This record gives sequence, C-alpha cells and structure tokens, in this order.
Amino acid sequence: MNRVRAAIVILAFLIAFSVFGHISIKTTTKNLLHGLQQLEQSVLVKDYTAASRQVTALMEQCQRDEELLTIFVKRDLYNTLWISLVGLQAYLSDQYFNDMLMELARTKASVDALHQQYFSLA
Amino acid sequence: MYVLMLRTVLIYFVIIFAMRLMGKKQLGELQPSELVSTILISNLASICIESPEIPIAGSVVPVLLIVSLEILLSAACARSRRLATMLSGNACIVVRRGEIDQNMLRRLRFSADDLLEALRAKDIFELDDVELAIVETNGSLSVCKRPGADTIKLDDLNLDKPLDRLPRLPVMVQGEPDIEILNCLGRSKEQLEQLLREENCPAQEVLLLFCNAAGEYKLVRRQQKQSQ
Repeated sequence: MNRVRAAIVILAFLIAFSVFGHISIKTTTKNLLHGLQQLEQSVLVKDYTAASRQVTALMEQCQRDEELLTIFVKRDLYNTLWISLVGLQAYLSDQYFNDMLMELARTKASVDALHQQYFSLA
Repeated sequence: MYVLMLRTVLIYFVIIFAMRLMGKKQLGELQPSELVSTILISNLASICIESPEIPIAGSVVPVLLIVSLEILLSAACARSRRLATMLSGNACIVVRRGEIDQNMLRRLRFSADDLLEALRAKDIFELDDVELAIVETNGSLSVCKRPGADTIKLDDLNLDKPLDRLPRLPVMVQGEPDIEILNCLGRSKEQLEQLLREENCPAQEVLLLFCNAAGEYKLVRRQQKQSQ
C-alpha cells in the first residue's frame, strides 16, 4: 500500500510539473512572439531606436528564462533562439531592411520550434 | 565531463530508487508489462547520459511516470483478476499425465525442443514422470511429478520432522538483530542478548548468528583484518 501511495504522489508531482512546464513555455513563447511582432512593427515604420530597445528587451527576457526553458526543452533549441535574437541587432538599419525581415521570420520560426518541441505529439 | 559524470550519478540513483519502488516482483521473473517497463526504463536512462543537450527531466520524468504507472497497474491487477488476465494472460496446461497437449503448444508457439529443455531444467528426463506441466504467464514451466516419480518425503514414511532438523535462520547479521526472524522462532531480543553474554561476544563482533526453534545456534564472529 505504501508503494501505491508513493506512486500516486509521484504521479501527482509529474502532473503538477507538466502543468508548470506547460504554463511556463506557453507564457515565454507568447511573450517572445508578442515582442517580435512589436519589433516588426517598429522596423516597418523604420523606428530603429525603438527596435533596438525591443531587441535588448527580448534578449534580456530570453536570458531571464534560460534556466526555466532548458529544464523543458533541448539546449540546442534555446541556443538557436538566442543566436537569432543576438543577430537581430546587426540588421537594425535601412541598409539591411529586407535582411531584418528575414531574420525576424527566422527568429519567429525558432520560437515556434521551441513551442512545437514541447507541445507537439508527432 | 564533470556534468556528464554528475548526470550519470543522478540517473543511476533515480533508477535504483525506481527499482526499489517497484519492488521484488520486478527483480524476479517478469510478467509482460514488467518486462516492458524494465526495458523502457533502461533505455530512457541512457538517453540523458548519452545526450548532454537533452534536459535531465527528459529521462527522469518518463522513468518516474513508468514506475508509478507500473505500480498502480500491478495494484489494480492484484484486485481485479480480469485485468490481470488481460495484461498477463493465463497459465496454460501443456502436459497432462504424460500426454502433451499439442494444440496448446501450437497456441503458445512452444516447440517440442522448448518443452523438453524446460523439463530437463526441472530435472525431468521422462515425459511419463509428468503429472501436470503448466506454462506460467511469465513463460516459465511449472511441473507436478506423478506420485511414483516424486522424491520421498517424511510424510510418506509417516515420520515427524524432529525439531532439531528445522533450519537455523540468521537472527543477527553484522551485529544487527533481525526482529522478524526472532519473532518467527519465538525468541526475544533479550534472549538473544543473554546468548551473546554467555558467549562473551558483543553484538559488534558478530558476523552471523544462526538459530532454530529448538534453541540450537551457530555463532560466526568477525575476523580481524589480516595484514599481508
């Protein structure tokens, strides 16, 4: 009977851990996507000062969530996302407008991949 | 490298914890679901050790999930015979009074060689010596010999087993008394201590102490480490 109780406790812990992971990943990816959307708006109106601030904020957010994210997803994915965010800084000018949009799309794809890895069954 | 070693140690202790939690059933002859969970657990444990980029939760969570499901399933099977049959199947009779049930053998995909090998493992070389042979759900073969082929027991000779023929059980191992065995033999801890005083042997010096219900005992003292 003690083992059965232990099994129930472990199962309850795993469910709680999964729910925590679900909420954490969903919140993080939602915030990142929202931030990237705002960044895209700034780039489209060519407000590179605001865009630079937004990139910095996104990087800080990503760094803050690093420990939490790497509990639930592969470190490779996190690193890919981080490198994409860092790379955005280099394209904040009129000269690299198209490249910036491409990099933004790539970063959004990285966030989606992170989301997929955690939530996808297939 | 240190991280790899740490992950290995962590997973190692998690697996030990998992096997302890699942209990003796898992270590003995395995039912199908138990075999599956043992194989899965060993594979899952290696994932995290081989791939440092995968979070440790990637191994620990599935292992703990399988352990808890296995325990709950086995508890449910203990309560419900129907569920146990569904998961593990039924024991099947393959030999009755020396006659092989060939339909059953075909159903089980047991060849004649498999049957003979299993019988030889039970020290049976004559099919006619078999009263009943049953293939259990874990794949092992249980055999009941016909009375004439069975070994003679004291009951057959109408003899009572003398008290001093009862086995001597270990009541103390490495200075630690085994209260359960003491109770089984109808002895108390105080009687044990009295015995050690009579032998002039403190508990720390005891390697093994065997005793039976008749009060016969055998004391094995610890030996001092001999320098070479």
